[in-house]
Amino acid sequence: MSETALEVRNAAFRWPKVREDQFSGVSFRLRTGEICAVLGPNGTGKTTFLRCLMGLLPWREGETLLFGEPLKKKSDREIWRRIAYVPQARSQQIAYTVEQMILLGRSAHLGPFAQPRGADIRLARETMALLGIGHLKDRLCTRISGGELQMVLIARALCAQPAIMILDEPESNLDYKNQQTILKTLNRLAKESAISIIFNTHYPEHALRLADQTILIHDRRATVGKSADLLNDANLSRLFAIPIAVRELEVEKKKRSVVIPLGDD
Amino acid sequence: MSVMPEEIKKSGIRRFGRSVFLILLPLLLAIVCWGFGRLHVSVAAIFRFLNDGIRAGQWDQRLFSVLINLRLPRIILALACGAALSVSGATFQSVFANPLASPDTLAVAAGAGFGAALALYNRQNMIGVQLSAMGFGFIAVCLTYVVSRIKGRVTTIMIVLSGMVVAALFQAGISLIMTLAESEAMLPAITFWLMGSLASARFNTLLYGMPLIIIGMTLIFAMRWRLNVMALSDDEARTLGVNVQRMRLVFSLAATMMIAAAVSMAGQIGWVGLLIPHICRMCFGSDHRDVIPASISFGGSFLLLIDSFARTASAAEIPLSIITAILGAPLFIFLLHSSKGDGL
Repeated sequence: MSETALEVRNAAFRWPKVREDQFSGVSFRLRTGEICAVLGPNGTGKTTFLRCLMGLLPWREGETLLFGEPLKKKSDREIWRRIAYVPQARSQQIAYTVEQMILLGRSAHLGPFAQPRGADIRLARETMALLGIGHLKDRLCTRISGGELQMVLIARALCAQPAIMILDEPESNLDYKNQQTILKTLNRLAKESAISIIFNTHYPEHALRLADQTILIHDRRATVGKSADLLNDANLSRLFAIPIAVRELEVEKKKRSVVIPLGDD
Repeated sequence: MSVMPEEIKKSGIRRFGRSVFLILLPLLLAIVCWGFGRLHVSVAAIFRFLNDGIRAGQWDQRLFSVLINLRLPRIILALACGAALSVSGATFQSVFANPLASPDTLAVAAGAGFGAALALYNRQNMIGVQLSAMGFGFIAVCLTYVVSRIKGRVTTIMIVLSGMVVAALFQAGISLIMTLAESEAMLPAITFWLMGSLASARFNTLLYGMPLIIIGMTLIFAMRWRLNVMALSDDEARTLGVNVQRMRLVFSLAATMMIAAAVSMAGQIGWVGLLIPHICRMCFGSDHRDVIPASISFGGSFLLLIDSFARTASAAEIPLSIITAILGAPLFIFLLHSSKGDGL
């Protein structure tokens, strides 16, 4: 039986000066090594949801529990040694090399006067090798592709040696090949390293393929369930406000789910 | 994959070589510039003078008063102020994640200048001048930061704009003090000091100003790796386990401390804090483990060269800000273009 890594109990969030909750009644539980997708159309507050989850924004009611203990009662450093956040890979302003960037993942483990030492550097290089980006070591983050940058940010998060990794649209703005690389990497991290993963996406197929459970965010509500149960024609059509069909296809002797938007028909 | 010892060794040697260069550069320049001036002393003569003095205890009286009493404190002050201004520039650029941040653009220099002028006008002693400079400098940077926050976000352009507004406010205050000072025959002193001059450097000026610079610089130097994570967005830095607000406060205080000391000893010297960190990044990359030591070395060397020029080029002293602006403006435009707007 695997342990509960992250739990949200009956949480609601509301922006200041707004009368309605952005979402309410959110409850779910994520075990170690489990993957959870947060799915919703643009502008429904998926990023806001993640920020609430991590305590960057306060829940109006309810709470997040980290390994059974309320997040609020933990110090910043305790939290960020266990949770790692991978922001959207926007183009970078600062010309750090890939290795310098990845080393920043050690920040929660090192005091304000410390600098990364041999062991930290070794960990960074091992992480790079694990993700297959060792050749990028001395390249500048301002000069690498979007897919490469996303891998660098994942490596930076891994360097914190977290139990939980939270990613904001890790595969958006990437081409097919890079998307597959990211999805494969996430799957491997969950299965082999027992890291719990939560990621935002607007691709139902990615949720179906990767996630054990999915949180649908729509109409100021959050619905939680097993991905296979939740992601059906009716729910997806309602979520994205266009008719959508989910079908199973057998390709190369493997069953695969495909999601087909039926916009014009 | 384990790390090749060979590779670590090689990068270690490179780092060591760089450190030696950064330490020697200002020292060598200092020895050369030591001899410059109305009384020219060659490097060989300086060594002979020192040798005679230390070995035999026979100090040449004339050289002693020129080299030790007059020029040495001025050289130390130039190195210290240059280093202080560029390190604080690099620090502000990181903690505000803004390549255009500097003592000048964030209005810290104007605030500190106002504080110092106010204290001078009230005939305070050096300690009073520095405390006043530090207080108003810190008020200025806080004002700039608060004004630039819109809905909890701080954008590059807003920081620069609000910095301009706050700086204008404090410059007006300085002008007011100068108008009042006119009637009391203090104007030339305040004006000359404001435009930047190291001419008044004596050992007792250093005694009052150096502690603040040394404290601020030691603090920032020791925490320089933290500046790397501070330059990221607030959410990113926070989720990497850093208390962003507290670190920003600590770094800003340390930087303001150094600027206040520099301004009270040498007046407003523009451009150094903006220019030098950018040059350091071009030479050694953006990692603050390299940028901060390089800023100390290059900043000190830069101001030393400028000051040596200022005191030797003509019969009258040229205010430093005039030279830094004439050099800085075109150099900065060149830097911006050659980095293709890459930011930090």
